[in-house]
Amino acid sequence: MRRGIFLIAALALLWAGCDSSDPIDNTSPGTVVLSFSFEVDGEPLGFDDSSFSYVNAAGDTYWVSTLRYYISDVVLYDSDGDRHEIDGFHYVDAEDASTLSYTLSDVPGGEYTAVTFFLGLDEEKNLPNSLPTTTENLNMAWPIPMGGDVWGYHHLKLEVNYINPVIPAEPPFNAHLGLDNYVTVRKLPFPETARVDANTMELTLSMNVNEWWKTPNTFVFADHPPMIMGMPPLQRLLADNAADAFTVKAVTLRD
Amino acid sequence: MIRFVLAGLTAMVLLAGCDGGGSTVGPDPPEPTGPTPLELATPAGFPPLPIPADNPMTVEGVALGRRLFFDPILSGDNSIACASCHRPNAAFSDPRRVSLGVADREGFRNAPNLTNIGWANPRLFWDGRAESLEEQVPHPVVDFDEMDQDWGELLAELQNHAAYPALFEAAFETTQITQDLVTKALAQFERTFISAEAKFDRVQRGEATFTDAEARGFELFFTERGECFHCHGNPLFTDNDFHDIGLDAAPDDAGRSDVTGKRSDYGKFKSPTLRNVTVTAPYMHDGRFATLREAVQHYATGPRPSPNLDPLILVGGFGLSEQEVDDLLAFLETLTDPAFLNNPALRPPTVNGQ
Repeated sequence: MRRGIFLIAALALLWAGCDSSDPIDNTSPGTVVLSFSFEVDGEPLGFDDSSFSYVNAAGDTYWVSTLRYYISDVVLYDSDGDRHEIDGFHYVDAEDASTLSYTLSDVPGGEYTAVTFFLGLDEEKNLPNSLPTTTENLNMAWPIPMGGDVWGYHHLKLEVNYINPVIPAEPPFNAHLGLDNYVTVRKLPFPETARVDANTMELTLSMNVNEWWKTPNTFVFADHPPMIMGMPPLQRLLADNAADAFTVKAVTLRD
Repeated sequence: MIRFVLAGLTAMVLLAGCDGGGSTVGPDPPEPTGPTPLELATPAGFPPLPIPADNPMTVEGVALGRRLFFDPILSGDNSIACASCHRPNAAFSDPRRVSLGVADREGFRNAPNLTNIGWANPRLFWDGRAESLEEQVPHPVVDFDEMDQDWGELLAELQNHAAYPALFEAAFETTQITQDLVTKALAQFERTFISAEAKFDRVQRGEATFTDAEARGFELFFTERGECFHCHGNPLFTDNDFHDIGLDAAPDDAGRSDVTGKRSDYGKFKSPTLRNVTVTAPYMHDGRFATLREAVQHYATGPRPSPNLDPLILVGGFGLSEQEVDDLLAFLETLTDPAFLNNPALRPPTVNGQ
């Protein structure tokens, strides 16, 4: 009987020893937090009035009133180049601090090198009344007479005013994307490889608002009407511009 | 060892037996006491109704709130009730441009429509200065231009009243009346201001159809031609957010910036719900438009280049024709909910409390 007890104790010690000395072979799931920040060519984005004005690629001076969008279907790339897709979505309002982080739980452990996601909702998610009936989601609904019986939501609301020598009173431009005009964000490399292993990996994602107006389609606000929800091809041009609007500024690991 | 195991098993069987047989051999469990929980049905498509954990809805709480809402005891000179400026047949708004408080003192903003006010969290008042109904209620009670009441005096009056102590006991299981309980009861009653039976709702459910004019108005409302839906979308017909819609080139009311201190919020006001809007004249935060046609006409031709004009509003308006204004008005009429406006449960209680 006593020998049996010793044997069990020895096995338990061996097990514990292996566990603590070899974390690489026993990588545990962890948490990934996407933190959202905003800039315009290196300047922090400020909101609402002409004291926060910026110049786009076409030379238009503009300022931002509203920046709201969805992020969905985050994909992490591991060091072997394999994709790990995390199904889900998250609403971001650049002026509401409570929306500026998106927590992904139970992310498989391993070394990661890059991330991508949709800005907006793909065809599987962008369905009428498919999201929970929160005030935010209801305010992002795409109206029925404009296709909302098929497509559920705005992907993005980016509302600006700009200065134009011909058009009086600082006209608006409302970049509202919907229908199938979500953005497939390019693969964003991390500044350095990072390991998920029973810890939290925070990715600081910065959106450069000027990228919306830049490449491949230089955007001149005055060339377009102030509202474009009824102009899907124009929405597509903006969505294509935004593919490289994001960068991973930092990767932070926490226990 | 085996004896111990058997003894343990026997004890477990005995315990299980006692548990299972308790309902037949033991005394009946006591009847639950205290206020009766009230479950409010959330209309289809609405967000969940925010209800604070420390103020659950109860039948007795709503009944007490209803009595308080219609009782002028809340005002300093016992002349003004909540309902004096929030009239049920006007969707709990005030047909006067600004309300008159005690001694006929003029307020400075139009009393808002309280339809579906339970979903207004966390932004109540035109400037959003209260974050819940419980936080909102005390404001008009003590406001000099409204009820001009002293809470200490009010609580003493209620405490010495022939009926209220018993009503508070029924609602909150205490006869000790406090400001907290007065506000909780009023908030509970206001959460029952639910309107979702307008013609619009019946059309949504396939139980009715729009007339041609209503259908054209619906199309205008929910496209960028009329550009109404971004701030007044379905189902609440408010985005619970703040906007400058170009009423004045130089607004004289700071609006939202009184709360946030942000220059960029100057002249912004909360989008009111458009449910029951046909009965809530006059319109805008200052009641400047006497008719709904004038209010709609503002969006057709009126917006001025104010400092924080919302990008969704065009200077000079959307250029709507008279026909289009008529069609929008026809659509807005479909948001009127007679069942809500005539709901006897939202009128003053009668002598027997019904």
